Amino acid sequence: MDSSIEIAEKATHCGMCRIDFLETGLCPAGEKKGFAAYWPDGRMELLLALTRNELQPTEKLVDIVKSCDTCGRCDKQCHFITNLRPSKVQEALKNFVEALDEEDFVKVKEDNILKDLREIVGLNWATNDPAIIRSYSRSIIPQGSSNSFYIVMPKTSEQIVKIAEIAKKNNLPLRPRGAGTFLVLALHTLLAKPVSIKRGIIIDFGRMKKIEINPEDCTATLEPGVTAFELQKAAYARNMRACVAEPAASVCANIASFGIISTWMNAYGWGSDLFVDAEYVNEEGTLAQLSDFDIFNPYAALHGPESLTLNPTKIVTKMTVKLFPKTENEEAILIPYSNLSEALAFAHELARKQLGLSVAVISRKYLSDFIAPTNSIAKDFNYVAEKYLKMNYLVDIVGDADHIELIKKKAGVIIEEGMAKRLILGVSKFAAMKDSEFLKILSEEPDPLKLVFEGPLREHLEKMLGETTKDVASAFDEDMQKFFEKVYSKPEMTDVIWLHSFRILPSRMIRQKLFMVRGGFMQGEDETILEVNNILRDVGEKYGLENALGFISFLENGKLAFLEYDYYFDHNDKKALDRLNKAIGESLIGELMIKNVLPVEYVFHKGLNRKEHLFHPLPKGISKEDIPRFQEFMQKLLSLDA
Amino acid sequence: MVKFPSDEWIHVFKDELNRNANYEKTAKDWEGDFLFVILPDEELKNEFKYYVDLWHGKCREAYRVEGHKNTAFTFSGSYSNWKKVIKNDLDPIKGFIRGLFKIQGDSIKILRYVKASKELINTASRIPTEF
Repeated sequence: MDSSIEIAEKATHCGMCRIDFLETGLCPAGEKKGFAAYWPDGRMELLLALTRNELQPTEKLVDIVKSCDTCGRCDKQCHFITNLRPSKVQEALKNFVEALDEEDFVKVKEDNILKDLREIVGLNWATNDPAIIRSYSRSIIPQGSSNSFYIVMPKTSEQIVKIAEIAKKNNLPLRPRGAGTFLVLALHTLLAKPVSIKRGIIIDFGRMKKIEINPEDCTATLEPGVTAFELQKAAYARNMRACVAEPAASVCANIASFGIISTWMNAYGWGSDLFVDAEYVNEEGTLAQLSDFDIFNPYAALHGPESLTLNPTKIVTKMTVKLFPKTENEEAILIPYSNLSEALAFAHELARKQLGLSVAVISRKYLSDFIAPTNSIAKDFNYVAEKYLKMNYLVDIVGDADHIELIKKKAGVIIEEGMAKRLILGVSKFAAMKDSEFLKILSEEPDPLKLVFEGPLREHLEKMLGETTKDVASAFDEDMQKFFEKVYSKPEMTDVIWLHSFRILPSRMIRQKLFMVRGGFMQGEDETILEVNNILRDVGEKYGLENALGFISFLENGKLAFLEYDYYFDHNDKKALDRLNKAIGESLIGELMIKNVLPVEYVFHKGLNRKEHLFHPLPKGISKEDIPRFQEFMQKLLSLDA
Repeated sequence: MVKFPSDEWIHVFKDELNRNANYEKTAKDWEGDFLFVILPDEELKNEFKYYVDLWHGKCREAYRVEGHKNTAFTFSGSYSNWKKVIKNDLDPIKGFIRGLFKIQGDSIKILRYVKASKELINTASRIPTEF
């Protein structure tokens, strides 16, 4: 039981068990029954609640436990991303429930509200069962909340309108849940209170998964349960690409909440650049379209330090998003740098000249976390890259082959697709050299990166890294190594362009730990970008948080930039959470004081806005005298329930 | 003084190496024979090759080779660079990193024995050599 509780505690609910990225098929129980409790992540929350005496067993719990046929798909999916084994949690949950006496179970009564909800969506798709409610813990409901919720899984927009009517009639807050991937991060922080509800109706979009590709106008119309992975797969089948975020995230929710933050924003844009139209349920509970002639200007956005929107004002029920044609000959390259300003200057120049589609400066930590199959290999590779290779940043580019040719002429050292593939397969061998005398000698050379990737050492490095899938697979649990050998032998798992489009590997950022996104949008001036980076780094260091630049990309030919900086934290460490919260507050003020910077908090739930309304004009920056007033505002905001 | 390259030099080298306790320690797990190739340049007219059989911290055999010889490893560089290495003016690993020497065979295995390779060179530099 102890190890299963540890697994449940370490779980980060990345949602990757809900997309078929390994082609194992999905959890049969989850697919059939829908509610979070039937998926691996929900079961983890149930085990925690039961063992902490926070949940009284209900009859539904027996159905939840029995629904798992122990097929082991979740183990494969979860292990690839987080190295955890959810099946152990299921086993512990089953043992726990089977050991209960009949009188331990409570019957859950159907009240009038539930009756009304069931009339709309059907008997099986609305519930007030505490076991199901509790399974939404951490992905929309804060841990330790009451059970005063209804969870509903509608099938159509019209059903959502009716649910909204019931919420209004009964004065209940109504909250949509996409995949919950952002809330998993936010609910551990000081944002937990304002972004969550204490009671109300939660809409789970898990049954609304229709995608219609419209090839003639290069768009896709999708329902709110469609994930980024599912949309990308459908787009790829038609030789097109969608601009999406994390693979398990709901596309509609992601556009509405964050506008899609991606390295592809360099070519494809952000927010309203990415969609044609959206259907939504407004605050009055009626169905509307953004393209309707007579609606209030949907793009209007408030400005100023108090213009935070921490909750959605619309429930997006359908969206027509833009797809982008793939060019015939796309290529990917990485250009390594030891210092940020040089990497930034190079990437920025590409953005200005419109060279490349996905263009970003990424950090050493991103590369290490993404390609390494375990945290310890990631840590060792990160060390090797920093100490010996002095590879701290990489300009990461996917573009048309003609553009890549031009870029190569301007670049110093280049890591081409073939070498990137070898790095993915051989990262554990590289990481194992962390105490190597040879690398110490190499690090004394003036340009180790050039020697390794382009000089006489290149052929030896290629030979060392190899192209077999055995090494990388051997990092996983023994009983799954054969399976992962097969996974890595699929071309797409080492295809750098495919990986950029589907974003499978970035999910490893939350391998048994979480991170809080910092940064934001800013004027495309290198000095400003570096200043933001430095402030975020200094605050992270001050509070003893593992911190690193995530990536920097651009909009509008480099006129605007986006910088993501991440504070990593152990969500089970209360002291770390305290430090994180202080760092969030301090870094926010730090960013607000810089001219022409819009911290990421100010685009929350503004993805439907036209970006020109949000980013023009950029803030002038607050003064020292403004800080007490802003702090007072924040105190009030953070203490308010949504 | 012993002339480099010559038959005599490699025999002295073998004896010196087998007396080097540090080499024995650092190469105690090493298995693999080498062909050291001294390539001609402005100072050396013809190619010169040494066969050196290294085994668990000892040198079992070392002699000049004429013609072809199969070995697990080949370490080759110009005469002037070999001269620098023997004089201890150039670390052979740095020479390899900079492309002044080439390795054939499992280079990664060699790179795991950097300390042993240093002892090889320390041994060579202790030989009173005439170039």
